[in-house]
Amino acid sequence: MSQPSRQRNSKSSNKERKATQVNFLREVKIDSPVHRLWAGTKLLGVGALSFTAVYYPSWGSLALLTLLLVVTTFLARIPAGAWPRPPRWFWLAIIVAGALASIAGGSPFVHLAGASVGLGGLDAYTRFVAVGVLLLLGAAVFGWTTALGDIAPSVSTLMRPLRVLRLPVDEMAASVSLAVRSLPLLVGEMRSLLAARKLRPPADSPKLSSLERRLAELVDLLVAALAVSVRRSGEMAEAITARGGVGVISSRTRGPGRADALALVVIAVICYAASSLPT
Amino acid sequence: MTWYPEVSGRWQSVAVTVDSQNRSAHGRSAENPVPATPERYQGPLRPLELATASVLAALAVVLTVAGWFLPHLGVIAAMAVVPLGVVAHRHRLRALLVATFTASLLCFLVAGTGAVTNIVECAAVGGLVGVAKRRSWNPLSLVAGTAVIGPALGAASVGILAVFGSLRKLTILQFRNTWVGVRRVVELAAPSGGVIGSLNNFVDSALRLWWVTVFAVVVVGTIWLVLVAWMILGPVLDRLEWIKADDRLDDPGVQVLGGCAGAEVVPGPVPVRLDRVSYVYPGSAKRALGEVSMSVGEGLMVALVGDNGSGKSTLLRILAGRPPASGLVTRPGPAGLGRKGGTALIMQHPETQILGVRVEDDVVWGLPSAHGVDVDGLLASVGLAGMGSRETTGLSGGELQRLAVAAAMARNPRLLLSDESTAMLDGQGREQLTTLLRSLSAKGATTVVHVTHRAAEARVADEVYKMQAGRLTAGFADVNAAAQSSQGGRPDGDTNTVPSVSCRSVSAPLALTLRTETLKVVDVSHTYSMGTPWANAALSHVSLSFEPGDGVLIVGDNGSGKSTLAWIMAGLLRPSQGTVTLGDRNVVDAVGSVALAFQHARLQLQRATVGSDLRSAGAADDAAARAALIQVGLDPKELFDRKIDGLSGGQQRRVALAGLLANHPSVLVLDEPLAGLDAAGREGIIEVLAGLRQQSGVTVVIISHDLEGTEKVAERVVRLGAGRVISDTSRGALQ
Repeated sequence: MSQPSRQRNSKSSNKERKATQVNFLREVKIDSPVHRLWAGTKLLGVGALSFTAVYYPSWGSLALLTLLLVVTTFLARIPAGAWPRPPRWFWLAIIVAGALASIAGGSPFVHLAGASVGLGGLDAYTRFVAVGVLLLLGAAVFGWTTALGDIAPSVSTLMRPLRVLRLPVDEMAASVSLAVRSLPLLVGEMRSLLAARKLRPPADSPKLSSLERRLAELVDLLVAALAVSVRRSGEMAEAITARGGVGVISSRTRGPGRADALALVVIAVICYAASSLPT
Repeated sequence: MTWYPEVSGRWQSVAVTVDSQNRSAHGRSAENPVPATPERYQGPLRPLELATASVLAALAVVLTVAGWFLPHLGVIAAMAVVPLGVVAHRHRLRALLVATFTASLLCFLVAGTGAVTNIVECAAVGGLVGVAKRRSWNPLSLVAGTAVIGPALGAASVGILAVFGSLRKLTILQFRNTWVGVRRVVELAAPSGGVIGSLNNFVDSALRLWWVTVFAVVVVGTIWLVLVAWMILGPVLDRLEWIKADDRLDDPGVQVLGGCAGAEVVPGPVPVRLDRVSYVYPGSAKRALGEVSMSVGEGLMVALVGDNGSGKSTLLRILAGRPPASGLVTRPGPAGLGRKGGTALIMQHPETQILGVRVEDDVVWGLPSAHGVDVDGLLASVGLAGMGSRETTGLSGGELQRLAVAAAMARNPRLLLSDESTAMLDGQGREQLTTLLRSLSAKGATTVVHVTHRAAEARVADEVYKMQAGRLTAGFADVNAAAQSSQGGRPDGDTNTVPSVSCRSVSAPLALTLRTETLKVVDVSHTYSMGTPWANAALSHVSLSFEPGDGVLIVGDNGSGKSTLAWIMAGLLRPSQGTVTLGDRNVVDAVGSVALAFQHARLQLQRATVGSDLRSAGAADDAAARAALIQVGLDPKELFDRKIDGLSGGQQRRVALAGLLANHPSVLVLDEPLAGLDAAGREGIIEVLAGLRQQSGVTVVIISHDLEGTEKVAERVVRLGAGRVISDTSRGALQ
């Protein structure tokens, strides 16, 4: 998916669109060991990695997990162009926030040319940012290496044990598959919706206050988006009924294989090692 | 052959007893647009609930991710409360839970753990407000509800932070450090401030008593979100009540999910005989079907022709197994919709009836098991050989419809119903699909009932029936007469059509003055996602010139770059290379001067009523808005105050066009203006466009995948292929 900009001024909006064009859940279509892994393995891997990073945000742990992700990216032969390119304000915000936190100082101290500098603030800040980046990066690696069509079937397999808890597992898996099917259509519709708004002259109704006008405009946009979605739901429902209800959602019944077992062991070992490193 | 005669509808009670209460609650109508009380259903989600939960969960994901990655639009993330609230308003809590799960999972995969918290919070609040709206709670109950979920969410947040102790300590330390940094900077600028001191104490205690702070922040945040939801969700729900989203195939008495209903009974949909069958949609006073008698034999292709609203679709639904209101339906066994050896149905809209993410997934979607299904063979038989692993999103309309046939054939249906499945296709697509349907019935194992309004398609059938106003008016004796007379139908795309005013008769005195400028596309190339692995060259070195008053058709297949060109011509997309100028201005600096009509007209209508939409689209006053309506052949008296969502698809398209014309554009670009309209609807739009060109000299550019039907407006044809101009000729030279 790409993010269209909302600004009315076309010059600046265009710069912004280039800068913030982010591709979500988009597979880099090449063959690699990581691509060949079962989607469920990667899903579990991202889950384990996120949990470890959040539960043990120590330097050693974060370094180890980052290494795991970087090696995975390398194995998956992800080209540098796939990496998201954050806009300039993002880097600016990172630097300003980092500078403010560094001023606080605190232990550990280093002695440079006779002066004592406390690195505690910088230390905490770096780890704090690293956790956030790791979580996003994990999601990105999953998206780069997994075809959209593989998500729902793997969720269905992974959740099979939850049937014991009487959870509506089939419904949940079918819902994921239908949502994944709808996502690209919805993104296209949102783009058209915002573009249609851009084509209109700027609203100026002096009767309403600025807040009220914005609220009214927001409601209008949401109603248009929902009107289209609700109609689509009705047609989709008829299509489901015409197929006799919910059944299988994918023609591939492939589950985890030997490579997946290996990958899971590697992930488990690294997460365990990360958790037992001293903070 | 053993017959299985039963009083209409009763055979379904063989499988499952039909709950008459459910049935009466099932339908919705214009008079009573409030959703059926969802509590009456029990057990697994109905298809409508599942579809709504899934589509709106996807919308919640889009909103959350947009807010997450564009912090200056952060408030957009909170708007995820709206789709989730709509799920709670229309359906059971079970649907909301499934939607929450789906949205959370997808958010996790796109944006990590943080975005999931937004979904959970929005689901809780949306659920509360949605249910409150549905049950018309008074504000006090809403306050009580907030008093429950606010502290619950707060306690949950505190609990999670208590578990993740290290991250909590790190976060607190980070906050403290940032505060210390800010304080020192401020002290440098303005030393000795008492305010700083007391603020320092406050921050200190807030961080020390983190659980109090977190709890308070979450509770206040929840109250804020409830207020926002009440202010925004309320008006949204009120306006959405106009939208009918019915599953007209679903029978609440029949268990659909799990695939166990009717398993013991072997389907026997044909031969079927209808004897004085009538049908009335719940809540409607008019009979959609009146005393229809017909019989459909085995191994035949039967064509059913008639105008929109003549009852063809209702008749198909009876054939698909919906019980009629009165009359007798005789068939050897149950219709078995979607079951192996039963009835299969292909519908009109290519995009919405495809449920699989990949082509091969869609073939088996919904089957009890994918075992023993020859997916590749089925795909080959509909001309999609080797496309199994393609994603369905990139397919053309014709390919999608043939895929729908493959999915139907995976069930070895003895009866295949086609509900206007050719209506939205181009000439080639129609021909391929009709040939395919014909070949299926020729094999003898499948009976095909094909609803169409085209003479050529009806002619290939073994039998042709004609319908008018809910009745069969002609049998198969007069094939050609029936097919031909159905050509001159009513001028609009939907059943709730109002007779439109011919633009020629009324618009003459109201010719609007338009600027006349030349639109020049100079050496335009465009690549999406340039510099990434997903780089996609949509256009390369396209140069075109459009003189004032030109009528041009830009034609090309899926992926030819024609839609990209439309966006670039309207200034909505800055091309990677080259420029588009209108007169002496670059169009990207003058968005709106080139009007673009999207294929999906509803997205272009952004106010509640026709009149207010036209005003917001740029009409100077009500008179100008009315004039614009007349220009597109609509009657302002009847339509000016109508609700947008109460209009038919064809009317919405015309109103969107009127909104663009209200801005007096010198160039009008229309993306697939004829898609989804029947023959008469197409003619109507073409006549409006031709009239516009004659009267006001506006340049009309039509973007289409199809040459057909545009002769009157576009005498020049530009053919695009793989992002390049293949030919640029006048219509005469083309012949």
